[in-house]
Amino acid sequence: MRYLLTVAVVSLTVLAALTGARFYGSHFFGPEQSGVRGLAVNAPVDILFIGSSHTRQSYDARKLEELTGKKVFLVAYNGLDPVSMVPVLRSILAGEQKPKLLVVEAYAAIFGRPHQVADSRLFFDADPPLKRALLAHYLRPPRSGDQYRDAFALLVNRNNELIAAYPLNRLLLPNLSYRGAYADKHVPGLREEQFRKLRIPLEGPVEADRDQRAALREIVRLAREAKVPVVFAESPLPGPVAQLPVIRGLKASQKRALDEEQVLYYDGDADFPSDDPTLFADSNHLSTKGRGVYTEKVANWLNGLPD
Amino acid sequence: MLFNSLEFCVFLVVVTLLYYLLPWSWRWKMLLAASCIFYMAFIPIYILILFVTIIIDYYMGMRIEEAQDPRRKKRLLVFSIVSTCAVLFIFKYFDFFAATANQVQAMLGLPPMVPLAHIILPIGLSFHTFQSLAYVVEVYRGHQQAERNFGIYSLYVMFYPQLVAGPIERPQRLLHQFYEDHKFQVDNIANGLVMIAWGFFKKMVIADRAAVYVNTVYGTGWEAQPAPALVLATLLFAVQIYADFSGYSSIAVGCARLMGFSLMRNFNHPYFARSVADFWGRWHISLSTWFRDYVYIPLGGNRVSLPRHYVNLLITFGVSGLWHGANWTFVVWGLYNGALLIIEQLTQGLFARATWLKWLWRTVAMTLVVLGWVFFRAVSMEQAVGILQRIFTTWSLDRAVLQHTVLQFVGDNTSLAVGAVTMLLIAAMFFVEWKMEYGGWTPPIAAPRGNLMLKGAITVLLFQLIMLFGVLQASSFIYFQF
Repeated sequence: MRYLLTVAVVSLTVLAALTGARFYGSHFFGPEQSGVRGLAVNAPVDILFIGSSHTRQSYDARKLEELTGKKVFLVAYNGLDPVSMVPVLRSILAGEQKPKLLVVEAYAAIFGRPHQVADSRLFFDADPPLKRALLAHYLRPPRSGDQYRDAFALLVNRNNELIAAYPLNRLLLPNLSYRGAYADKHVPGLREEQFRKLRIPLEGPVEADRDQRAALREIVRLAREAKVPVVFAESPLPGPVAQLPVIRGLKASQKRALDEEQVLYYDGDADFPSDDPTLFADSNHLSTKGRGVYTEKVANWLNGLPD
Repeated sequence: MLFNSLEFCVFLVVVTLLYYLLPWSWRWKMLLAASCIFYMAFIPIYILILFVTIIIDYYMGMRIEEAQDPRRKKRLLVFSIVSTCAVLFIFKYFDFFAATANQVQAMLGLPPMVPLAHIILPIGLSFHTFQSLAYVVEVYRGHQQAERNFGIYSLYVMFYPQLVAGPIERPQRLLHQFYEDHKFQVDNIANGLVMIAWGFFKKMVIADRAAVYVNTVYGTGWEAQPAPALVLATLLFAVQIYADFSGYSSIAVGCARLMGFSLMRNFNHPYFARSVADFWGRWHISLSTWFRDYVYIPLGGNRVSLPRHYVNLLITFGVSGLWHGANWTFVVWGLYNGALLIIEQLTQGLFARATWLKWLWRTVAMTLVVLGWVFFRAVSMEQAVGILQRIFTTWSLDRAVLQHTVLQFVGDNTSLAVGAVTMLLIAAMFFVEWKMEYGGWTPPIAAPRGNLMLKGAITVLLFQLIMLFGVLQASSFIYFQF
C-alpha cells in the first residue's frame, strides 16, 4: 500500500508543479503575431478589433493599415462571445497602452447562444491575472461537473503542444499572421451550388441570450470608463444564411440592444454583394476575395468616423 | 464502462482492494459480481445474451466430457458451436446478410426480401463467444477438464479485464487461476500499474491524438482530400489501431496483474515484423492463434495440396475479416491479407537471396499491410476504393496542399505544433518498442520482478504525459465494436 500511495502522491505533486509553472508561464509561449500575447507585444495600437473567427477571417490587417494610416490589431479566438470578451477587455482597457478605438464584433449567431469556452488558446495566451479572471468568470455559479472538467483541461492539458514545439512555432508561425489577421492565406470562394445549400445549425429563440446581452452592456461600460471610443461591426453573411428568420431575428435583437446603449453599429450586410458566392468561404466566413472587399468598406467607414 | 473513464478508475480501485480484503472463497464471487456490473454499465439487458452462451457451453462442456461415444461427443460439440454461433449471427450478422440479400434482390429488379432487424450489437460479443467456443473445443479434444462450478465457468467467460476486447484466453491458461490464492505482492502492484499506465499512454496520448486527424480526413469531405493528407491519415490509422488495441490489451493485462492474474500477451511489436506472416504472428496474437487452432488447422492447414493450402489461408483470413465486422470492407481486408500471405509464400525464395532483398521485402510487406488498413477504416467499399484511387492518382506537394495536410490536425494555427508533438510521441512509443525488439533491452514495463523504484518512476512519468498530452474526453476503444 505504501508503494501505491507513494506513486500517487509523487504523480500528483509533479503534476501540480507542472500545472503551476504552466499557469504562470504559458503566455510566454503564445504566438507573438496574434491573440492577447500578440497584442501585448504589438501595443500600442490605434484600432483594436476583438471577436471570433468571424473577425479573423473578415479583415485584411495590412490593407486596413494602408487605407486608414493607422496601426490595427485583431484579437480573435474561435467562438469568442461577448461574455468571454468582458474579462479580456477589462484586462486590456485597464492597462497602460489602451487602443484609440475599439471595434467589437457584433455577430448575431453568437449573440443568441449561451456562453461557452470555445477556444482554449485564449486561456493559454493570457497572463496570470487574465487567466484568473477567465477561470473565475467560467466557474461562476451555477456550476456543473462539466465546467470543472473543462477547467481542469484548461489548467492542465490544453495546448501543451505549443510549449513542446515552441522553437518550431517561433520559426514558422510569424509568417502566417500579421497583427492578428491572416498573412497571405488564400481562402477560395464557393461555387454557386455550394452557396445555395448554405445553412447554419441554429434554431430556437431569436432573442438574445441574457448573459450575452448583459456582457454587451458591460463592454460598453468598460470602454466608456476607460475613455476609449467603442463601435460594433458585423461582418457580412452569405445571402442564404443572412435571410434565415433566426439570423434576422437575432440581428434585430442585437441592433435594439446596441441602440439602447447608444453605440455606433456597422452592418456589413448593408452594402455588400451578399449573393456573390465567390466572396464567401463557408456559411459564416469570407473568402480572401470577400475579405478584400469588406476590408475596403470598413476602412472607408472608419475613415469617416469623427476623431 | 470505458477503461479510460473516471468511473472505471474508481471501479478498479474498489475491486482490487476488495479482492485482497476478502477471504479466498469469496474472491471469485466478488469478481463475478464486479464483472456483471462492469458489463451491465453498457446495455444491462444484454447480460442475458451473455448468460445464454455461458449456460449452453457450460452444460455442453460437461456432456461432452461425459459422453463415451465419439460420434455423440462430436454431435454435442457441433450443437454447442452452432448455438453459440447462432447468437453471434443474430446479433452481429443478421442485418449484414439481410442487406446483402436485399441488394441482390434489387439487382434482379425484385423487392427487398428480408426486413432489417436494426439490433444494437452487444459489446464484445465476438470476444466472449470465441472464448466460450475455445472452452468447448478444448474439452472435446481432452485438453481441458469440464468446469463443474458454474460460477467459476461464468467468470472465465466474463472476467472483466478481458470481457469486452480480449485477450481471448484459453481455458488451460485462465480457469485454474480462479482457484489460486493470490497473495498481495508489491511486485504485482508495480507491474500492474506500469502496464496500465503504458496502456493508457498508448490509448489516450497516441491513439486518440492520431484519431483526431484520421477522423477529419476520412470523415465528411474525404473526396476532396489530397493524396498527402490521405497517406498521412492512413499511416496514422495504422498507428491508431495498434496503439488503441494494444493499449487496451496492456490495461487489461495490468488490471488482472494487480490481482495476481496472468493474461496472455496480445501484441509483440507487429510493425517490426520481418514479413506478412511474421506480422500476423505478432498482431492480436490471441485471435490469430484462435483461428490457427480452430479454423486453419482443422481445414487441413499446410498439410494438403498447395492450391488447397492457399484456399485454407483465404478462408481463414476471410472469416477473420468477417469476425471483425459485419461489412464487406472487413471481408475484403481479410482476403487482402490472405492474398498477401500467398504472394509472400510464392516469392519467398526470391527475396531470401540477399540481405538487402530481405529488407526490401520487409519494407514492401509493411507498406502493403498499412495500405490494407484503408479497407478496415473505410465505412464502405466505395470509400475504400475512392481513397486508394486518390492516393495513387492525385499526388501534389505544392505549398497549399502541404498547408492543408498539416491543418487537418486541428484546423487552426496550433496544427503545426499538434502535428509535430503527435509525431514525436509516436516516435517515442516506437523507440521503446525498437529497443525491446533489437536493443536486447527489457524495460521495466516488461520485467516481471524488481526495479520497484524505476517502475514507480516510469508510472509517474507516463501519468504526466497522459495528463499533459492525452485526449481527456473518454473515447471508445476501436475493438469494442467487435
